[in-house]
Order: sequence, then C-alpha cells, then structure tokens
Amino acid sequence: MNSRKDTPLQIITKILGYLVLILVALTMVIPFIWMVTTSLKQPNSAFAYPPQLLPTEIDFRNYEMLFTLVPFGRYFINTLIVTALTVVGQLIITSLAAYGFARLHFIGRDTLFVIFLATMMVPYQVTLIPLFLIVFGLGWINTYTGLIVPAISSVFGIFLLRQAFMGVPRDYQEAARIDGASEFRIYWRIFLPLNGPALATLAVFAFMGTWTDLLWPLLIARTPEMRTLELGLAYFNSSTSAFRQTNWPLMMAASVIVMLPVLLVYIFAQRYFVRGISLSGVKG
Amino acid sequence: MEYSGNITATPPHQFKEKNLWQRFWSRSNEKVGYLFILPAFTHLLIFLLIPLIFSLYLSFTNWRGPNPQNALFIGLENYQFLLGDRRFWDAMRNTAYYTLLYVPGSMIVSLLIALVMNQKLKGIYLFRTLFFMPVISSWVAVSIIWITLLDPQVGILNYVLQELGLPSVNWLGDPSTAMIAIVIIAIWKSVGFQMVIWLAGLQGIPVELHEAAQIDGANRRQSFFRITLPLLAPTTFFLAITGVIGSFQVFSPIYVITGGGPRGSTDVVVYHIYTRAFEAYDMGYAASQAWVLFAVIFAATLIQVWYRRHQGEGSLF
Amino acid sequence: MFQIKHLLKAALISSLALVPLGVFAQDATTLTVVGVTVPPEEIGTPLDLAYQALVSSFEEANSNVTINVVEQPPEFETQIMIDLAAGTAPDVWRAGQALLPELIEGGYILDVRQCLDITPTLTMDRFIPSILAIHQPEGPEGPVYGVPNGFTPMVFYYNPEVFANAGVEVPTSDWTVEDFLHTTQMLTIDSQGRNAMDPDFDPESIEQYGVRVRKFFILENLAWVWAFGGDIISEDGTTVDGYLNSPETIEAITFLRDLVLENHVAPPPNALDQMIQERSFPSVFLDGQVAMYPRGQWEMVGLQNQENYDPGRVAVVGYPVGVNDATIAFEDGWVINSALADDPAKLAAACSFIDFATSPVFQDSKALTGLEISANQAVADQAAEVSQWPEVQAVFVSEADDARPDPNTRFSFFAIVEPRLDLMMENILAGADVTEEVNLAVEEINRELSRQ
Repeated sequence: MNSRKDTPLQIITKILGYLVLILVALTMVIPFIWMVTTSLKQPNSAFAYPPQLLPTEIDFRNYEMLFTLVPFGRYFINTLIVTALTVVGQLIITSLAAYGFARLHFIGRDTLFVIFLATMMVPYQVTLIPLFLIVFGLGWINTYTGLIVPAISSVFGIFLLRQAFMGVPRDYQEAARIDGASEFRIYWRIFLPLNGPALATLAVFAFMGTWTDLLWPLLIARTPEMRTLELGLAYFNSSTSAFRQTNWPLMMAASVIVMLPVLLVYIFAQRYFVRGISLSGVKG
Repeated sequence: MEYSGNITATPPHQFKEKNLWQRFWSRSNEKVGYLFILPAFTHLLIFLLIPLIFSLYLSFTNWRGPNPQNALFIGLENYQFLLGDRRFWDAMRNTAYYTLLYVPGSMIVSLLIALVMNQKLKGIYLFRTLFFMPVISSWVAVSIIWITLLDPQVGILNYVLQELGLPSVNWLGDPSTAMIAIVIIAIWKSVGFQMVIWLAGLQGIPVELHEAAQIDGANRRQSFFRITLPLLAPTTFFLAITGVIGSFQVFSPIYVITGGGPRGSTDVVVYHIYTRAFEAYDMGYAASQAWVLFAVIFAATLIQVWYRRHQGEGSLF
Repeated sequence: MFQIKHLLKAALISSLALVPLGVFAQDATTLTVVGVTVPPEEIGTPLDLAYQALVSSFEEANSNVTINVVEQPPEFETQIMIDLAAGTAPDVWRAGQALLPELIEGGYILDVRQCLDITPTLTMDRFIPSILAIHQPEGPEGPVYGVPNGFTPMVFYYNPEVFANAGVEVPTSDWTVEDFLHTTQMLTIDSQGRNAMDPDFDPESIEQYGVRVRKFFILENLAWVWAFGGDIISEDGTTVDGYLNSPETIEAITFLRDLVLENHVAPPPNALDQMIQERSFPSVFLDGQVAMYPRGQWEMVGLQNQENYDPGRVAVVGYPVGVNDATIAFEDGWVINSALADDPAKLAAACSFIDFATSPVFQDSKALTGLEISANQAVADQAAEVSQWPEVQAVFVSEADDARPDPNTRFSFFAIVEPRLDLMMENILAGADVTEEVNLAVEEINRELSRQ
C-alpha cells in the first residue's frame, strides 16, 4: 500500500513496535498455554519447580473423565440455543434503542437515556431475588425462555452502539430522509451496515457473557436436560465435603472445553472487526 | 398511530406557550423514537426497574430472607446502621482503591498498545486476536489460571522474578499485594477490549491533521497531546465511565480468587453485599448497602459527565 | 408480588420439572430430595453406593412413593435461599448446621414432632442427645427442627513417626495445655536439628513445625477457648461482651498467637502458604513437616488419598485439657420443607424418609465411608468395630462425649459473625495487639447483635 521507502528512524520504530507487541502477546498467551499444559496432567504431578510451560507428559484422562461423565452433546446444544437467541435478541433490541437514542429527537429522550445508563450502575446481585420471583411468576423456571429472555437486552450494548451510531455523519440520515426513507429503513439500511464492528463487538460480548454465565442458569435450569455447558462443568468440584482437594488439572480441562467454542466464534467474528476498523475511516 | 382522531379533535392552541402535551404532539417531536426504544424499555422495566424498586422497598425492611412476606418495615434503621458499619466502609475504601488502580492503569496500558498497533504494522490481526483472548474467557477460567500462575512456590510469575534476581512475592497471601494482584489480572483481562475501542477511535482521526501538525513543526509528543488525545475524548469518556462503573461492581475475581482476604484487604463492596445477602440472608440490610453503592456510582458518573461538560463538550454524553 | 407464589401455584406444578408427572396420579407421591448424591467424579464410591441403597430400599418399602433425586447444585446455599422465596425448594434436604438458624427463624423447616404420630418408628431417643440438641433451639421439650444425620468432633491429628523420631511420647487423651506446648516445642526443629527448647534454636530456618494454627476461629480455635474456661457469647446469644473479651478467652487467644509469634512452633500464615502450594496439607503432614493439626473425621479420607499415606503416620487425640475438657462438634442433618404441612401424603413420605435415613439401614454406611460419625447412638457405638481404622474411630466416638455444639444456633447473624472472628484471628496471628483486636471485634459483633 505504502510505496515510500521507510527511513531508518521508521524502521527502528517498527522494530520497537514489534518488540512491544510480541512481549504483550506473550503475556496474553502464556497463561492459556499454561492452562492447556496443566489440563494434560494429573493432580499429583500438576505443579513442579521450575514451572513447566510445555507439557512433559500428555495425559488425556481429565478430558476422558469429563466426556464420559458429562452429557456434552446435550449441554452443548442447550448452550448453543440459549446463546444464539440471546445474541440475536440483544443485537436487535439494543441497536433499535441505540438508533432512537442517537438519532431521533423526542421528548424525554435524555431522561430515558439517563435512566438506562443509571441501571448499568446497579450490581446485579441486588436485583437477583426479585428478578427470580418475576421469572418464576411467569412460569419460566426450567425453560429456555427463562434462560434467554431476561438477557436479551443490555444497557451496555445500547451505550456501545449509541456511541458508534453517533459517529455516522448526519448527512447520510438527512439525505435518506429527503429521499423519503422511513426511519426504520435508515436504521436498517444505513446504520446497521455502517456499524459492523460495533455490532460484532457487542455480539462477541453477548456471546461470551451468555456462554460462560453460571449463576442464572444455576437458578433456572433445574433438570440435567436443561443444563448449560458451564453449569454442567460446575457440578464438578462442587462438593461441599471439606476433605476434597482442589483438582486444578480437572478444572483447567473443563475451562478449555468451555473456552474453545468462544475462541472459534471470536476468530470468525474477527473478520468483521477487521472490516469495521478499515470502514471507520469514513467517520472522519 | 401517532395522529389519532382523538387528538385532531382537540381545540386549537389556547396558550401561546406550548405545554408538554402540545410539545409532545408537535412535529418536531420525533415520536417514532418511542417505538425504537419500546422493546428495550419494556425489557428494562420488567427485568430491571421493577426488581430495583422492589429492592429499594426492601432496604427499608428487616427482610431476613428467604421469604419477603416476613419482612417488617423499619424505616431508615438499615441506613442508620450502615453509617456506622466499619466493615462496609472498609469495603468501600477497598473498592475505591481498586478503581483508582484499575481504571487509569488499564486505560493507559491499552492506549499505549493501541498506539503501537496503529503504526500500520504487518500481522496486526494476529496480535489483535491474541490480545483479545483474555477478554473472551470467562472469569472463572481466568481466575483458575491466575491462582496457579501467582503461586509463591511454583507460579510462573515468581519464577520470572527469581530468575531476574528479585524476591518472590506471596501475591495473593499478602494483604499489601493481594489487591494489586487482582488489578493486574483485571487489566490483563480487559486490555484487549479497551485496545480495540481505542484503536477504533484512533483510526477515526484524519491523518491530514497529524500531517498538518508536522508541517507546522509539531513533534510527535506535541501532536499526541494536542491532537490525538483531545480527539479521542469521546473514547476516553466511554472507557472511563464504563471502567468506573465496572470497577465499583467488581465481583467475580474476588469471589473466585481471594474471597475478600487476606485480612479483608480485597473485600470489595459488591462481594461484601453478596455475603450479606446470600450467606447471612440479611436481605433488607444488603439492599440498603446496594442502594448506597448505587448512589456512590451515580455520583461518580455525574462528576465525570460534569467534568466533560466543563471541558466544553456540548452533548450530554 | 408477595403473593406471586400463591397465584401461580398451578404454573409451578405444571412447569417445574422438579415435580414430575407422578404428582397427578392419585396414589403415588413424589418426594424431592437433595443431599443423596455425590459429584460426578465420585460416582461409584462407597458414599455414592450408600446413597443409592438408601433411595432404593426406601422406595421398596414405600411402593407408593417415588424419590426424585436432585443433585446438590453448586452454590447450594444461594439456590436454596432463592427457592424458598419462590416456593421451589425441595421437600427434604440435607443441611449443614450453618443454615439452621435462618431456616428456623424464617419458618421454612418443619418441626419433626409432627412426624411422631404419622411415623411411629421415628423415635428421638435413637439420636445422641448432645447432637440432637442442635436441632432443638428451645431445649429438649421444645420443637425439633430436622434430625441429625452425622457429625464429627474436632480432634488433633498427629504423626506418630515424627514423635518417635524426636523421642517424644505420643499424647494421651488427658494431656494438658502445658504438655501440648512442651510437645510442640520438642517437635519444632530448625535446619541444624535443634528443637525449639534449644537456646540456639534459629526461628529463621525451621524445617519442621510442631503444630498448625490458623485463623478459622470457630472451626479450630473455639475448642481452645473452652479449654481455657472462656466462651464467646452469652447463653441467650445477645452479647459477646464479657465473653469474647473475658480474661480466659484472651488468654486462650494469646496462647494461640504465641504458638506462632513467640514460641515459633507453628508456621506463620506466609510460611504455611508456601508449604501447601506445591501439594496439599495432608501430604505435608504425612511427610512430617508439621507434626499436629486440628481437624474433623472427614480428614481421614483426605489423608488416605495421599500417595504418602501410611497408617503408621496417622493417629488422633482430643484437644488438650485445661479448665475444661471440651471440643466442638459439627453436624449435618435432614430437614423437611415446612410447606409439606399442607400435604399429608408428602408429609408422611418425608417423615418416613428421614426415619429411613437415620436408621441403621443407611447410617451403617457412615463407618465405612469414614466421613463422619453417625448421629444414631446405636450405630455410633459400633462404629469402631466396623471401621477400617478402629483406633482412630474409637477416639472420635469417645471425644463425642466432650463435644459441645457449634454456637451458631445462638447467633442471629452467624454468617457475619464467623468471618468477623476469623478476621480478628487473622489480624492477631499477623501480629496485631490481642486486646485491641478482640475489643474491636466485640464492638462490631455486638452492633450486629443489637439489630434484633
């Protein structure tokens, strides 16, 4: 792209840049390598000094145990259904609201937005019991509805998308209005396509939050058939019997299993981030 | 729907000044906005506002759980007790300490990385993928990993310290370092996300501005502080607001890693409330603590908004 | 909203999978039970088999009742709390005593005296009286909230090999506090092989400690307070002033503190952390790095699972005798959801179930699994004969006579008070002034208690 020759100063800057990035990348990745390595060990040999980052033994017994004792297929499908619908729901509901807040002038808008924003500040442990009573009252215990509906909107998502929508030049909206496009059409045809990166970011967050949520599924899913992956795995090492030692390798193996799908989704969604960031040049 | 017959039948304006009713029905009020907000608002109402108001009511009762039917209205007693509750204010102080370390720490680290990444280097996508891995991991997984990494005996971090000739630190066992360790983990986990947000902000700054500044003889530092940083203000603001709100609510790493210890040094306020509510079943009082926390977060946010306005930014957010 | 559970009872019955279809059949009763399962990785262990046998033998004897076994979920305490609020809690569950006061106060569990007419075989005299008392907050004539399942007194585990190597006599049940201190000093050894009695003893290079002292106040240290003649709270549970800060209690706490900070016979928290990161504490103990530590019976199972386990390395003895010969007992019991009072068929099934669960049919498994002692007097008396470690079991059973219940039933905010006591102890073991810390704790705890 850049046809100019780099000056020596630029080359040095680049090398320094790469050094920084490699250092940061190592910091980010080593813990995960450690996780995988440890998950391939047995509790008695889990920790040695000096620490071994790469596996010296490869022992799949932890995974075998998890796969034989946990009906992964079922849990996986449950988690997939719940996560997919939650993500789609969040994208639709939050982007609609974000458009309203970012680009439409109506009485009470700012007040409403402050109310939305204020609820972000509420720790959710505070509302847990009343929320559960409502979901119970709706008859949603042990249903997908109960797992999904309370999570299909997110104030964080609205805030994120609103910030992004505000970056879209006003002219686009005005021009479309002059052409007679409805607000919904403007939202659907202009704002959504232009904000791929923000939507992808939100999707990844919604995916991750739902995929790894523990407390809510714990309260809602009452039979093994309804359990999600994270919940199913949480039943390990959950014993209250005090004689048990923490089985770190087993827990690491469980974490690897939960994390893998998220990682794959991220790598896929990454393409949208990429496109988005190059698109954001338009914003200036 | 917006212009029903009922309304057109109302008499013409009798007052010069428009009241709220008239302003509502005027054309400049883009009522279709309510439709856009409706799904989110309904959801918010049912799943957040109603539970929230319920919890406000509870904060004036002695609800000792589990069943709210047994709650007695006791007025402001919970709030009075709270004023002298030393543990609660210790938890508040710990939370403030965490926030002061975490918010600037994570923002600066992620901005520095974003600046490097903005240099149009090759292979940037690979790096971004790697940096984002902690962001998409669950707190439980991250906590499990870091508990073993920070181990004073066999942890990698102390191994590195020892190889560098530094003393090994009992990170999670020492009251003076435990919170710092939690902050390090939290920064490690969130840097990828903040970096992406910074990067999006950075790429929105026109290159011409920097070129113009260079022609005017500005060096890189000046150009960063005079152009880049001011233009990044919306991003900074977003990260600061969400960062502060998030820090005041930090819970998962404390719950999984330290349980509030050692010596209460990591007993942050949401964890404190959680133990009150779900271990002591002291729901009414826990609700009053939550409302005080809410007030504090709200005040902190208002200060940030006020500061931003004070800086001359027109829009509310 | 408060009435939500009444309005929607129908929704509950149809939507909750906790209550399978059996409930609609006229004669069949389904009883939902939590507490008869093990975590997945323990399937097939003796405990698991004992639970299975309990359920199947009960169903055999009560053909009209089906047990709906629900796994004990992670975070059970949070879940049961929310379930009780919504009315989705199980019919019968096994609860540690920590939850009892809240459950009793809220009226969530049934007075099992209601069972006595329905299930005449369920007798109260089968239980060890001091353990049953945990479920009788108003005394032996008052209501009985649930029945005890099993318990364990706290004792000192010691490693006889370490004693032999140091030429120290192993302790007997009548050892005194002075004996204890002397023993720990003899067993604490520095890198030059000198023990803590030696004038040249170097506290900086200790390789073997005499005992482990930790912050866990109720669990490990309260028995010491009792031994010194102190206590922590008034009989009626309204104040800790004059108890927690009594001279006897302060003396006991100072004694424990000094074990760590003055006598150097117990590892300070940091050293302890370092010791147990690489491997579990039981393994450290079996290797002789720490000669003694206080623990309940469940620890035997943990010790046995260690690679360096050897029966010759494990023995137990009661807490040393001071003014009192006392220890603390921890218990878990079966409780019945008070909602069953309106459902005679279920109530009968639940009563019959706790009768089964506390009779020898199931209780005999206690000695085999070795986690705790049966609260059934007859079963406990025979435990030593059945056990795979008869001497150890015999000590536990005899220590039960000196056992006092966990005082949590006397506290109204136990879940706040207990961590507060632990924090006090943690600060003291880290070098804080004993009297100052205790007075601070007294002030804060009394503030909580005054909220009643």
